[in-house]
Amino acid sequence: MIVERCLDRSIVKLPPQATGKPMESTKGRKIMGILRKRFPIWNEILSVFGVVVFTVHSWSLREFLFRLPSFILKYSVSEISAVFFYHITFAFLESVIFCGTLVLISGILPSGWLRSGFVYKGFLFVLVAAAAAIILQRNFNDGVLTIDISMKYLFYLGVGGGAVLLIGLFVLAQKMTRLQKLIVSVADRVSIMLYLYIPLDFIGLLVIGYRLLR
Amino acid sequence: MADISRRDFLKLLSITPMAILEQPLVRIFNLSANPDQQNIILLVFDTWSADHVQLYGYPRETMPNLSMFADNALVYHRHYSAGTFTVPGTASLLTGLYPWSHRAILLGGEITPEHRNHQIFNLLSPTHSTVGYAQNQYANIFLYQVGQELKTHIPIDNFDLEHGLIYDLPIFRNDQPTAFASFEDDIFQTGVGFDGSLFLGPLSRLITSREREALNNESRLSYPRGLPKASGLFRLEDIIDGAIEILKGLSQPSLVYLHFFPPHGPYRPKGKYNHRFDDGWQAVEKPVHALSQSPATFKEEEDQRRRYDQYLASWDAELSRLLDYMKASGLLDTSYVMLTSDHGELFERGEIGHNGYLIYDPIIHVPLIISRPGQKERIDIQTPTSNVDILPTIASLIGRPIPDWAEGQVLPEFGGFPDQDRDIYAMDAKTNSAHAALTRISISLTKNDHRLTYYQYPNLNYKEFELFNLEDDPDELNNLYPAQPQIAHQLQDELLQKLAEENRRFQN
Repeated sequence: MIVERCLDRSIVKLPPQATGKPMESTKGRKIMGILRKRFPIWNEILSVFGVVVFTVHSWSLREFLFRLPSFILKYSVSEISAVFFYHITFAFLESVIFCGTLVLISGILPSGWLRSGFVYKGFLFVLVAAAAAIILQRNFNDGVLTIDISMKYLFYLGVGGGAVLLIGLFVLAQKMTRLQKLIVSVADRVSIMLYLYIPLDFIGLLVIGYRLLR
Repeated sequence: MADISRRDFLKLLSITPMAILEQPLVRIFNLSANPDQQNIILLVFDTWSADHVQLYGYPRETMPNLSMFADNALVYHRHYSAGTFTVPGTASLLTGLYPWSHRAILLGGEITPEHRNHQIFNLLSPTHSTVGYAQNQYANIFLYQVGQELKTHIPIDNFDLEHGLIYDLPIFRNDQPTAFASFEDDIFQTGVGFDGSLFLGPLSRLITSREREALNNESRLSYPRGLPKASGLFRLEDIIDGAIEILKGLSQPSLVYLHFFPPHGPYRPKGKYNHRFDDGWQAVEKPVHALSQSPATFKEEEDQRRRYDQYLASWDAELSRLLDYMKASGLLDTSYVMLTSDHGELFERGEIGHNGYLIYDPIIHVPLIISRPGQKERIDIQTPTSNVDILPTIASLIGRPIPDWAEGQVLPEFGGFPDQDRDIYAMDAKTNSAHAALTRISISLTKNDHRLTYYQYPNLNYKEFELFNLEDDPDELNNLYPAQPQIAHQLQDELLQKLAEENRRFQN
């Protein structure tokens, strides 16, 4: 059912009541109407949030584990735990910022661009952005690009190239319902990691909050 | 009032100027009488090798203004740092402990909890107002470790052109060392490697990169090679102006610790100095060491040496303003001013910088110049001394007993015995665990005219001793270890015994 709901609205029409509880007041109904019209539905946002959380947290944990041997050499267990929770908490904040920005963009752009089919489009967006971020990280040293390209051209190449790639993938997925279904089902499976990461984030917030306020 | 005659009134009036002058005079006389009421100003220049200063026999005139300052100061000619990079070197300077005790031996390492409160600030906080500033982020962490007893901690980027180090934000004030460990070179990477933050990391790098490009372009005329860089870009003149501002607002007596990043690389002097020392002079070429990781050519070493010297000259020109200010303001009359470094720099045997395993004179031989209040003559001291001696000397200056945990001695001329036979250790254990016995280590013992260095790296299958006579062979070219077995074995036994003794605590 989730899979069907998350497909492009141009293909699968959703019943309006599936998007949430109706508001009591007229004003409330109006606001909800605008939100429904402009922004993706909650379940779709949650699916994309799951993908973002999975990507951002996995990367953060990878980096933490990469540095763990050097941490073991110089820090105590409690310090290493604190560093771990800083990683986790920051990853949570980063996920919220990234996903929030994506939702905001979908609300600003015409609905056909990003809002309809938000799950597969969001998934592809995260995929392309993550690849671009990793390539960029690889080519920086001490605040200086190691590839021989000026910042201006890097910007054109990154934003322009990324946009072309993304639009290409959007068009491809829009034409191939199977691909859409596949992406949505992957997103759905990936979202399961929310059950692991979000409780960890919650513990992280408590630990970091305690450390900062003690 | 009716009893005061006109004559009495005039008498009283005549002593009014004395009453006005009373406070300053009492202050001056009290200060002269009580050394514990005088300021102690410790100026640390990161990566400053004595082997590049003409005052210490270098052929290039890199620091003429320093030489002038030294004309009225004590010059310690054989002063050594206990570490080969900022973390161990600074920790030894601040605690009076060798790295095997303070355990700050790795990049980003901290002083062990046992000795965290054993820094000079803790020692002086009951009597002095304490002020600390470190432009090197690894040294800055030690200042955070002091806690409340460092009354004024000046933010690391206070005089920089770039701001916004995450761990330095007020929200992290209760957890700075861990926030530093998490954010700097980790969640946000500044060097080579990946950021822990997938999206915000590279975004931050892009923004920083753009900002730096703009700042460098703005300053292209003054700094053609780009602006000097610590945790952010800065101008040499700004940090000197900042230091003067700090000293202007000083309450007496104060302990002031100012740890400046220059002449640490990147070596970016002002334009005026960019062609200084294009003199054709070359240092002695030394063979590439087996432990040199990615050996530089002799030409590369000499190019970098010249750049370092140019940067030193540029720094010296700015420094002169600070020294002049201290003289003009009378601070030199009421303060002990100490100039030193946390470690030196290498341009030999394939090594450039201070990130390798090698221990040779240029990396541990650092300047120590101390101006006593009102000193009017230069005194040269040839006794070997170590940066672990700074804390005991300061303790002795303020009439405190030398703490029992301190491993240094009081410096000669401050009540210390000029001991030519003493053991001076320096070490590098940047790949060894801070929580375990020192088994991956470069360690040197300097005694009399000799220096024995022991390299023990089981992981690299390397274990070697080197012995040099510093008097006859200051360039450390002729390894006497095989030729002079008697001295070699005597020093070797002593060094290994000391190492075993310090490692004993980890046996159980």
